[in-house]
Amino acid sequence: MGRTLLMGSGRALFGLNVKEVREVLKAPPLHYVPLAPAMLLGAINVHDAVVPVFDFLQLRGLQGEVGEHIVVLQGACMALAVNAVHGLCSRTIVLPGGIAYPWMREVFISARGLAGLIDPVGLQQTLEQKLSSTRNPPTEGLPDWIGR
Amino acid sequence: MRVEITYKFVMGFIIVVASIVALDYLVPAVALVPHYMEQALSTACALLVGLLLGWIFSKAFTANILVLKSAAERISDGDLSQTVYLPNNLLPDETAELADSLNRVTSNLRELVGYIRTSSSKVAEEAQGLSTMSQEVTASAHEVTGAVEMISRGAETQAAMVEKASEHFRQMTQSVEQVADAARAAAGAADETVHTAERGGQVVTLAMTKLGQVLDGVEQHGQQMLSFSARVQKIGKVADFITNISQKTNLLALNASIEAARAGEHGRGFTVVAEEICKLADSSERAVAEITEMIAALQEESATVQEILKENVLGMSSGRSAVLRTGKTFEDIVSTAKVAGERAEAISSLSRQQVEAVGKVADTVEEIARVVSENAAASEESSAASEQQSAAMERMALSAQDLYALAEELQERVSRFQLGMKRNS
Repeated sequence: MGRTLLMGSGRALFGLNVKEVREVLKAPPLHYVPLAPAMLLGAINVHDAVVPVFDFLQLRGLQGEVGEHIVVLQGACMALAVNAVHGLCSRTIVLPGGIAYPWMREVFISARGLAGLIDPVGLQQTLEQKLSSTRNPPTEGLPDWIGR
Repeated sequence: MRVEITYKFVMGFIIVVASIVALDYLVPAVALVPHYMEQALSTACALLVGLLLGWIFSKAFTANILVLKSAAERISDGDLSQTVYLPNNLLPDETAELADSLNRVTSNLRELVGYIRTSSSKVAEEAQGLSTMSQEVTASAHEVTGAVEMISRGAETQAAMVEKASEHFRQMTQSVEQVADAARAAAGAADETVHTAERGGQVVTLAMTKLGQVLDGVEQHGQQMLSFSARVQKIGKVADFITNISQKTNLLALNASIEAARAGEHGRGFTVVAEEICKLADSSERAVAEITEMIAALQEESATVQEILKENVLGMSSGRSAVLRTGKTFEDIVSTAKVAGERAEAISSLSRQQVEAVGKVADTVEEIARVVSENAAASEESSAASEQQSAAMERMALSAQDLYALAEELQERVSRFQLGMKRNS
């Protein structure tokens, strides 16, 4: 069974297959994306590539403190802002996921507790669905000179 | 022409004798009777003429005497109202003078009796008034006696009170002497207080010096603690920097581990190195965390020590001000104790003067007591004299009553005299 990067978002623990993780950054300079939805915190420069950063907490429909650890995914060309990165671990007693979230592939027990294994493809699809539902951004709070 | 009655009797005898002799010659000459009867006839004629002339002369001579006798009888009966008038005589004699004398006697008696009557009535009135007055005086004397007795009792009470006052003055003298002693003791205590307060002031000055040194030391310690805290904060920054480096190292090791894991079998060795680096980073992070905790504890303790030092400095400042106030208080105590000593000395002096004055007053009170005792004795004597006076006035009232009775009796006696016309009424 492969190595898994264990991270914390809110009170929950999540894991990512190491092969699906490109890099872990801490509080890189974040560039604000105009008219972006709230869960899209901005974009960062990762080795001369622009990578959008999503708030993993808001992505799950929760509110809380925005994490300062940025986990850059390997294939999805996106990054997740989480509250903590606990390092690599091995997955034991793996159970099938997808009950709570469609992008949760498995549920496993780590050294820190019960964690969900993230499926980057499913997460990307979920993001695309959410972004398509919020294609027309809210106009409240925007200046008058911005076109609607 | 006044002829004495003796001469009148002599002249009457001569006339009788001459008539007898003439008859003795006339009868024989007439020869009316025989010779032998001439002698008898002449004798009988002589006797007859002698008796007739004798009766006429005697009647004439004794007529005034009878008038005087009746006047004397009237006077003796108390009738003084009439004047003696003698019949006219060609030859007045001593009876006229006697009548004049009797009239003068009557007049004098009338005047005397009138005066006695008037005087006796006045005496009776005066005696009655005197009796009334003596009764009033007796009553007043009784009242005076009562008043004098009251004065005597009051004088005795006064003497007792003066004796008590004298006793009180003696006690007051003793009290004032005790006050003087207490004032002298207070003056001594105030002097001792002055010395003690001066020593206290010196001690306070020394304490001020020592407290200033301690305060300077505390301020120096505070500065050292501030410097220490600043250095600890610098150490904290260095620790934070090390923590940051450790975290970055840890992150690098994590990324290296990720890269090694993605490399598969080729990256296994690198994974071990990365994990070791990650462990080292964790160890250094934990150590730095411990250091940070220690630094935080040190900072907290230094902050606490600084607060304590600040409080101590504030306390020392307040202590310095308190000691300053204490020094000022000691100065005030010294000045106040000096004033108190002066006043106590003045009180002592005044108490001595008061003792002398009270002694004089006590002597005066004793003199008053003596005078009051004499007054009491005099009052008793006055009371006795008043009683004697009262008795004398009672006797005088009785005498006045006797005098009134005597005057009444005199008036009664005098009332039998008839004065005719009222005189001096």
